[in-house]
Amino acid sequence: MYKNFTINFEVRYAYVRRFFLFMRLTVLLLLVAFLQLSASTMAQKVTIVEKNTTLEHVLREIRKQTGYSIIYDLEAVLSAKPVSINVKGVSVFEAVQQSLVAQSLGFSFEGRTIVIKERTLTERITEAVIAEEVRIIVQDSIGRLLPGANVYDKTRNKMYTADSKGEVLITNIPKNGLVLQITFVGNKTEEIFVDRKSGSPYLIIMRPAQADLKEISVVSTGYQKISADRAAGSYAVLSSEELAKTPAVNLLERLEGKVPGVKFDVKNNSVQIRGVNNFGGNGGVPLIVIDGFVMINSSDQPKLTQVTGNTFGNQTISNLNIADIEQITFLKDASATSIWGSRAANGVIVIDTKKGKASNPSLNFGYVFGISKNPSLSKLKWMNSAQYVNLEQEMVNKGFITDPALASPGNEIYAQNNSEATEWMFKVKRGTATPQQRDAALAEISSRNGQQQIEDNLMQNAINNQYNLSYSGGTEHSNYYVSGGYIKDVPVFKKNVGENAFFNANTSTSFLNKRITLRTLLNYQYSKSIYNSSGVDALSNSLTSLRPYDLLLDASSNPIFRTIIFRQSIADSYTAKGYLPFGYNAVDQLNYSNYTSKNNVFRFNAGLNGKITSWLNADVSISSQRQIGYNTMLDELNSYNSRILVNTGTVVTNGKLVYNVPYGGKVFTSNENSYDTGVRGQLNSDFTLQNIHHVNIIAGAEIRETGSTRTNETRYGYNEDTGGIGTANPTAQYMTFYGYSSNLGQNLGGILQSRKRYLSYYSNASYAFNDKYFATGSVRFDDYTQLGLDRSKRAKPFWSAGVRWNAAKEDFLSGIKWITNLSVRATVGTAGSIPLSGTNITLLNITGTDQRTGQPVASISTPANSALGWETTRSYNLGLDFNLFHNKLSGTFDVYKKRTSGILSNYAYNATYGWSFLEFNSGTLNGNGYEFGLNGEVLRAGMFSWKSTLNFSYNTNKVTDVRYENNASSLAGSGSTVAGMPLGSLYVYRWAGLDNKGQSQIYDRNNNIISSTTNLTSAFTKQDLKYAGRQVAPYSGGFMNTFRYGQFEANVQITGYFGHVFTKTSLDSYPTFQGNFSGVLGRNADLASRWRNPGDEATTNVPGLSDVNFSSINRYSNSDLLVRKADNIRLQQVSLAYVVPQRMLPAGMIKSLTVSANVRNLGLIWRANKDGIDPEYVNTVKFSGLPPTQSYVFGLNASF
Amino acid sequence: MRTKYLILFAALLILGTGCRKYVEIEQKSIRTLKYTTDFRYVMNNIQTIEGTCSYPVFSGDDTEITDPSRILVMDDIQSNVYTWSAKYTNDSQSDSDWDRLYKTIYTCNEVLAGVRDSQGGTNADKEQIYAEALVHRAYTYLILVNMYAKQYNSATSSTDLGVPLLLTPNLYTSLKRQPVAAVYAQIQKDLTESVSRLPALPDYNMKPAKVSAYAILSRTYLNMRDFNRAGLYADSSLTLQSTLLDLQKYATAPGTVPPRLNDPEVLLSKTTGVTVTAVSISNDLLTSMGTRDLRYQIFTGARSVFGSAFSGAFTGRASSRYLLNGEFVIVNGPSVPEMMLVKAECLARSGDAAAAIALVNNLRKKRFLPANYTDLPTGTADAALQTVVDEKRKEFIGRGMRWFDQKRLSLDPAFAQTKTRTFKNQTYTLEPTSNRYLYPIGDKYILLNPEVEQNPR
Repeated sequence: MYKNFTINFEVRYAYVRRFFLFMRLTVLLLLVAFLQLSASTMAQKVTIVEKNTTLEHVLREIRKQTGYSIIYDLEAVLSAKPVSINVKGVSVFEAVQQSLVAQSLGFSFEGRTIVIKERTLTERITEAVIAEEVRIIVQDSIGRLLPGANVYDKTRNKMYTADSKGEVLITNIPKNGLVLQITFVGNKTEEIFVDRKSGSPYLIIMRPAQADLKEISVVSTGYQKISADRAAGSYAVLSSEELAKTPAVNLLERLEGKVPGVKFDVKNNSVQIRGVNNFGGNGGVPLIVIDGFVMINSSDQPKLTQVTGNTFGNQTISNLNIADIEQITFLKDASATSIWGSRAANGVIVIDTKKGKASNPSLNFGYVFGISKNPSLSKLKWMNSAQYVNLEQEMVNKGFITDPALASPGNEIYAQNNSEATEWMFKVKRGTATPQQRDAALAEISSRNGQQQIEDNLMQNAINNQYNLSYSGGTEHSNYYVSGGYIKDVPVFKKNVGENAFFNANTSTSFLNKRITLRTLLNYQYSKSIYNSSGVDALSNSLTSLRPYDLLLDASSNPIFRTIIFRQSIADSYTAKGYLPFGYNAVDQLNYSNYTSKNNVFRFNAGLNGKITSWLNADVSISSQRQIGYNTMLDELNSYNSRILVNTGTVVTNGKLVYNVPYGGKVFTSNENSYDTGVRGQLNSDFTLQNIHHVNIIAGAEIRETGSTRTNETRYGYNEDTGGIGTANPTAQYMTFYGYSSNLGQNLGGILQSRKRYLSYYSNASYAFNDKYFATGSVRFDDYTQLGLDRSKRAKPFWSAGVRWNAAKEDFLSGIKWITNLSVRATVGTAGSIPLSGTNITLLNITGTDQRTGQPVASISTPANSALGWETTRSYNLGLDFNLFHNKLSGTFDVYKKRTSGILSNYAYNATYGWSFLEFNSGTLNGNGYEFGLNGEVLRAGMFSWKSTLNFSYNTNKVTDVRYENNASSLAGSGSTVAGMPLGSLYVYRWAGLDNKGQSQIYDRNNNIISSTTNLTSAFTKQDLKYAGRQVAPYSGGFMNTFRYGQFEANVQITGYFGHVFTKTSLDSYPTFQGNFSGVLGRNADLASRWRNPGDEATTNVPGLSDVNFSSINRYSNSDLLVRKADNIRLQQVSLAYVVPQRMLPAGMIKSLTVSANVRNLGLIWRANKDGIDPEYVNTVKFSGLPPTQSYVFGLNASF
Repeated sequence: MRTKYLILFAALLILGTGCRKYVEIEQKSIRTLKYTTDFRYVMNNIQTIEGTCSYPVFSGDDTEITDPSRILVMDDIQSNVYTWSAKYTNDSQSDSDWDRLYKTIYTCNEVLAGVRDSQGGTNADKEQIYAEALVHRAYTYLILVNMYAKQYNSATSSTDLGVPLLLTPNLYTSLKRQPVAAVYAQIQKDLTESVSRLPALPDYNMKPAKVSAYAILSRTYLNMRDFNRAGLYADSSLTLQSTLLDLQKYATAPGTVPPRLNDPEVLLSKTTGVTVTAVSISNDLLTSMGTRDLRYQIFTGARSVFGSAFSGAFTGRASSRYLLNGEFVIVNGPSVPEMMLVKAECLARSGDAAAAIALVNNLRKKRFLPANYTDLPTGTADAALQTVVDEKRKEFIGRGMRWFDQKRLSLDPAFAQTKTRTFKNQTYTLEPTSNRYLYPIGDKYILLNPEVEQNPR
């Protein structure tokens, strides 16, 4: 009876019967391990202490602890002598060898399988004659000999040292062989088993201890972990080490440029994997999965980070603790994503958090401190005071601005206050000042510069602090990881602050001889952000923002209050009666109007895995996530908003002030409570047939429910000291000081609830032949709650298929030493996007009760769109992975093609149908692209090394639906969807200069000039416009360099975007018709060079004021005159880290210590445009156009 | 071991069988039009149903804007409307009246398509809601066809281009303009169909009832120059409701003029949709009214009433009714005075001057203080007709209603006049037969749906 007990499914019935007859015996002897596809299992050490036990028992124990398959002759093992063994933490070789010490059995290793057999007579004879010595040659990973390497014979406790040729001769090898341990500084310790058949010489290749070019061995799909060299799909993995190299608070900043094919847009807080798949605004949002489940988000579109208020320069709140991330896997092609089915069309980001390992407890502490100066406002390219005054003067002269003092009696309270400069202009008209006085005053005003005061009083240095503490450890049966973190982010705007606190604990324990494994995870996150809009507002474009000459503080540093809603004299007359002050000052406002948002996120995961057989296990997991958010918008009584509100509701009756609006501040609070619960049942099967067929199948079902409840309320008359509020009937009419009546309006929001359910079945199978040829396939079926969509359109199957060829393992390549890995991948599959906005059925929105009729009212919120369906993306991917010259050069290359059909888009529609915008999903889009990541060692000399990573991607697409034939005027400047063109194609008018009235002219296709007073007809089409290029960069790249000298490591991170264009902002907040200009004038420097007199058209292109009209400004703003190339290369970061050598650390206390210093946001290295504009931060009328300033980040990381 | 598999697969199956029910759950805060009350709520929504058109306020000859300050705050579209320009909107601008009116059409079509199959209401409820939608739709088409198409002319109406006639909520039908006759036929059909399903009088005047259906029919036939039927329907409407506001009560307290919901004259509340502020009244109209007319005193205001809208040099008056009761709304739907004047016009046209003038006098009695009131004398039928037309212009100052009369009467040789107005030092002329009586269709809509034909200019 000599049998190979590896599972064989092709056995015939009779064979099966016999198989079951011997079942009891078989169960005992079924020593084929369940192969967990995790590298850590393979490295496991063996600990066995047994006396006089059976050999079979010992072998089973070895199998259990190592995961190796052991094949042996049953009778020989059963009849073996009792075994006494005492080994602790030894290798599998040694353990097997020890267990066979007294036996007449021999063994050999074949890959991950150990074969034990009785030595035949021939073997015994040959043993006697073949060499009893082996020559060991030790090399490093790039083939250099390693003289001086230590070779330790563990079996016989002997020590050898490699000679000048890197060689050691081992003699008198015992029959059962021996275990050698090879060590060399800077390399990982290797253990080998050598016996008389090992062959000589025996080459050992040492791997570097700190594997910079470490190939990521495992990718995670959220449902399973796959060994990277078996995956057919396109994945990109980023490890925690890589994240740590860029210690920014914002995760997107840490990731930018590091993943080929994935675009991280820090400015707009968005992530895009392989470009967009649809036309819509929310298009391209990847699904975010954390520890196997979709991350909670009330809108069901989770983001990695959130930024409060103005996205630029404000505090960042991370939605997860970056320090807890073990690795992030980006699923890019259909084969990778199809397991997520209906929501995977835009790619999936799978985040795995850190888990404990079977090792001694270790404590890790990290601290990061970052500081950056506020940006200089002088870079804004705004008009100076003199230029601004000049513009105001022209607007006054031409009647765009009228004198509020001339408002008729009784109506002056409606007349908005004018600026300081225009006041002097009007004074002369009113006869209260002479032209000389005016000119002197305007000269003084023109000489001012208010920007320094804004920098000094409304802005500050941005500072962030990140603390992290974690400890982890474990034994063979259970492990744990517990961490806590705190981040405080203070942005450049004063009074704003963001705080994050994290707690995380997860454990894994196995029972019943590791048959059952229980996983638990407990995660809590708290975030708080305080937002004060004062600084942002001063630089934006509102009534309270500052003109270039407006000052915040007077000579003695007292705040200058300015009335906004009417003239100072009127304000004074009211305050004399006892009204609250009407003035606004941004510095003062910093103290009063603070908007706080607090968020608590709880995440609980539990999972149970049970091994049914060695090749089959069942897994049940539950995830429950809760989010509790609380927002407060507090306008204290002294805030501008509350003073104006209270004043408006104050009237004088019988000489006394009557407060119709409760006297005090206003507080708006809102609560949001959302949940996300998922349950998943999954069967995992993994087995090998005849040592060459490896099959892995998972199949499962999953249900998920997500929902939220939102409420809000407004309180008036709030007293900050007592917390008391005033009472008021919100719908009762009260008299305002304007003389008309008003009401506060509904102060209690309704209870908004939403609830959605998802149901999925999925399966994924892979087959490997000889570890060379792989085939994978997956199917998934999805159904979800969507009102109005018929089930046939709602529930969808998705599938994928892929193949992989590990060419390097072929015989004809395995001989070539410089090829470590070479494999080719090809996949095809589908993924979808749930139509979140449109429906096939008319949706109703019940809006409450009409105030006049008292009747409940509703409105139609979404029309029934009969043409609406589902959005699906089919994609093809061809990939190549290689590793050459012993890790000196490795990389991946992928080409892909995507076709999305049924694209949803909110499109301009004919309002004659009742809707001026409509959700369509009948578009089709073809996308394609390529991306590659190259890792290589550029230079190594002595202690110095230079390693580089270059990531590059190209992505383009083409709208293939001919229905998107837009009319020219809605196309110009908007980057619309156009058939035959990529998304975001920018069409512009062809600029023909200004006419002699200073207004825009454009060319048609025949170069005829069209004046701004001529309407475009349907004869003016796309052919009359100029195609300016794409607004989204098709090419993007990241270039990371690591320089190492001894214990020092320097990193230089460069990113680039190429091939796109942008429109320079020129006119913002400029009159578009002859008449009263309301609002605030723009400050863009271009306004200073506007047309003023006939003849100016020869020297300027900026339309003048006199005959200004809507078409003129619109055509100018959307003309080719303002289009610029946006290509740019940016130096993101230079960092320096020092790993403190062990010898300098107190022995036995600190395991490792790293200190680092980084400079971030170093600015552009190169840009294509000649105007000095940073294309990623295009200057607009608002402040948000400034690139972030250099920030200095210092870090410390210690392990104990 | 087999049992283990069985249990596992059974568990999966159980999970599977409930799948459809698992995801098909009711969602709060979002609903489909399912219950009869849902349709009721939609028809209750004044914000989407009540607004009609505001541009005609600028077109009609009751308006005259000459003050430079007032001209300065006019936007480009308003200026174009005021000067009867060839185009009102740029190729990318929206015609807000068109948008608003067709939104109402859509809403009505949605109700008409679904209310009869709705759940939870009685048949009578459903029929009434159905009828209300018919009335709103008919009224809206009446406004549309009179703004954007030629005045109804029985000789040419079957070929004259009307407006796109959408009768279902389908978002993919053709927008080809149907003949004027077809639009009118639809209006008549909708209204006559609605009458039997409606109560005589509404619960409140924002809901259609027989009284307003008759009034709209009357206005429809008046536009079709079927004066006999116009008079009969006006009479039917007046039989049901004929209450007038007695302006004498408000002479000293204009602020107490009732809001439109309580206005006894309003038969169906319809408004301009947006408030056009400080629209100055033409001088010849002011002169013809005289200062003793309470409509002059209460519903128009001098410069001081309008803040900084007018320059110091402005000596005229502007329509101020929208300021009175804090509603800030310009009401221009069918009303009792309108029906009286339609009836009077029909009587005068039929030669009954005495009856026509008697009706006018009944109205005027409520428009003057007793001390200032004298009966108008009965003259010839032609004179009576002129009196009625003039009275209507006074009664509805600043509401845009005059424009429709002006357009209608331009086909009447006796009333056909050439209008001129001066704006920013340019003079504009409107001949009685001018194509400029038709509003241009927004180029934006034509560019989106080329089947929409532009009006000749």
